Amino acid sequence: MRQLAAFLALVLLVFGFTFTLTTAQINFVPPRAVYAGDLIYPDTIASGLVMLSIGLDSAGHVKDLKTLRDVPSATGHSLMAANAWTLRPPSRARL
Amino acid sequence: MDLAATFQGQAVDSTITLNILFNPANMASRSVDLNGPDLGPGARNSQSFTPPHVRSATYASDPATTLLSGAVALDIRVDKFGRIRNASAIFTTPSLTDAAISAVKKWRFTPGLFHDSPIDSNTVVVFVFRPPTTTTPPGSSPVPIH
Repeated sequence: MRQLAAFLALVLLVFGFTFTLTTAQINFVPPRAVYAGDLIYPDTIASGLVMLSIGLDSAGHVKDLKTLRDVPSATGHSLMAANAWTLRPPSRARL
Repeated sequence: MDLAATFQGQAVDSTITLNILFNPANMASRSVDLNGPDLGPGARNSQSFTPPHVRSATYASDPATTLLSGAVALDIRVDKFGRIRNASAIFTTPSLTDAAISAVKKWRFTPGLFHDSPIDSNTVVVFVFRPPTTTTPPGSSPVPIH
């Protein structure tokens, strides 16, 4: 009897945790950009992909700006341009 | 107005990734070199949302891209399988937008993760186009024609 109760408690615990995570995933609306400004090609022959990571707080304010992939002579332009963009923070979906 | 995202009662911070491709003329659908050091990790943060990440990318090729300069910024919806579900322009140079959308549809992503489970999420891809340069490189002088 005690083993059965322990088993049921374990099942409930696992189910509850899974349900909480699933609900959180459904509710979580990831951040996105809603406005981007112009970006001029810098005076360089460089080409390639610059990757920037922008950390946002829950109100959408930029907390930090990191370079994940660098193209020397183009990254500086990208960082300046990204500061003028409008970003929407993550939100909860209305269910 | 949207409600702030929360997890277990706490407002969550987040991260968004911007992918800015400097796309000179005449790249003719070449693959973008993604070798070399990533300066990251960067993308993962305290609330365990990891944004989508570019796995492969190609330059845009279109007659217009060899003649014009300008930028096109695209809001990209990546599904939980890493496929592009939607690409909408948030900054356009009208004659270049179609070339950018056509090129980005060939890109591949790893999906965004929330608590290690793949979810639909957004990233940004910007194409910055430049026509062939016509300026004389510094230090060189034109060859006289006799």
